[in-house]
Amino acid sequence: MPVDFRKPAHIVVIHGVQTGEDADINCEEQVRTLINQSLADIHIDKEFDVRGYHYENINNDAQEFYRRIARAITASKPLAKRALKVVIDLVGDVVTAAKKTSTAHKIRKGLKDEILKSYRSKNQVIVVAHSLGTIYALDVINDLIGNGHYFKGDDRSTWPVQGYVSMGSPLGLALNIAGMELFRKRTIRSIRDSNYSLFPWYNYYNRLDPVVSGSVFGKPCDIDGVKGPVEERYGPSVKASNWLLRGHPVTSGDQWLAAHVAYWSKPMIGDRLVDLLTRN
Amino acid sequence: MNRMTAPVALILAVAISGCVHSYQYLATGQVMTASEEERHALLYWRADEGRLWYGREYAQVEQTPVMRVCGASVHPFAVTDDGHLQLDSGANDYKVLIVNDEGQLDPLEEPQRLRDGSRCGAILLDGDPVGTEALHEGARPGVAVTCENRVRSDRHPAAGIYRFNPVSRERIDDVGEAPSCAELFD
Repeated sequence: MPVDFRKPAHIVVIHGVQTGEDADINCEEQVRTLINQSLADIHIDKEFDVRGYHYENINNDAQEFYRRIARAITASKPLAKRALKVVIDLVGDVVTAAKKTSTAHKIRKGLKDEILKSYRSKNQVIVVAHSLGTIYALDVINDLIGNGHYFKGDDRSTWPVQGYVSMGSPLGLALNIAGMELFRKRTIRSIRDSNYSLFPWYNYYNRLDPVVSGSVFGKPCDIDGVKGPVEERYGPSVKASNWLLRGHPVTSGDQWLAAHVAYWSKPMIGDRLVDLLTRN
Repeated sequence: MNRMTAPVALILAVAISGCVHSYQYLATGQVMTASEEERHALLYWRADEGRLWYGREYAQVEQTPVMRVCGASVHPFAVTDDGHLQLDSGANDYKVLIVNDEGQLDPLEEPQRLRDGSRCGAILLDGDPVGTEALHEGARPGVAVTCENRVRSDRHPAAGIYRFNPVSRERIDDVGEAPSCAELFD
């Protein structure tokens, strides 16, 4: 089922930690706006389609038991009830991703199916992920590379994903809380028989983003040139596996959590996506 | 949302972002497309400067400029291990020129197919490849393009060296807007 590069590319967008429900998430709209703005600025026409992969309802279903307990405990305290609901929602999302839960498996399977749906219709796919979504995205891309049916060396038409753009990723953090490694280092699968082609991974990060730095108080992470936490942790292993990891420290005039959400309106990331859309 | 949420959010937003300001670096020029059409082009990147919410001084320059070629293409730069800016090669890219010691281009006798992520271009200052730290306000960068694409001829500008105008720097308030071709050249 080879990719037909004349067909419009599909951009699959994966959100990060969220509160609320799938219906509240508009990450695909933000990416669509970003790309359209970049295309308009440069005076280029290009057809593409953006598809969001939402998994918040899957997480919510898995957290329902804990929500019920929280509701019972805080029945007469509306503020505490609201706060606990948000905490369960946010912490639950992270713990689900960190542990080998059936919920995380379901999320990864859903994302893989979404990517393969586009691949089967012969559309090339570019994956864009934010925050916690970068972990699911990396796992699924890795899984596809490990599957013998895809990523056959230099023949890019066998690649279900043509490129990966991560934003505000915690993948560089080696955090261990209460004996649980939150973002364990993934083994990067190798693209076999590739003489010229490397799988491109563009990682955009802000030093002031606490999800990147791991600093609750927003202390900037140390970087070496363009090598941030993700590049330091994954650089050597991706190089050995025929991936091309490029770090891009970005700025937005924001600090702390505002820096974590500013990627969605970053023109430089829109430009990168246009570059990927017009590449093949 | 209760009545206090918006004002509290506003105060928090000002507190955590008010002390760091964004600056934009910009250089304009002209490049030739592979189909020999002259196009306006621009290089841009940004920096944050100021103090963090707890008083510490902070400065960060975006080290990977983007080149926008109006009506044609967009080219994000990457940084090599030696700190120089480069245009990464991709599928079906062949090196056809090399930058010599004088910062001029020499043709390769035999075009060389490149592995992805190899140098297909560079930003030069006085003929030497540089990183963003050398591109201060007033510097006159050149962009060297050294590849051709055998499948998508419009993938890169025509191989050659393009001189850009001096780099300008200005403070920006709307970080969601990048310099556009219409704004700069129409």
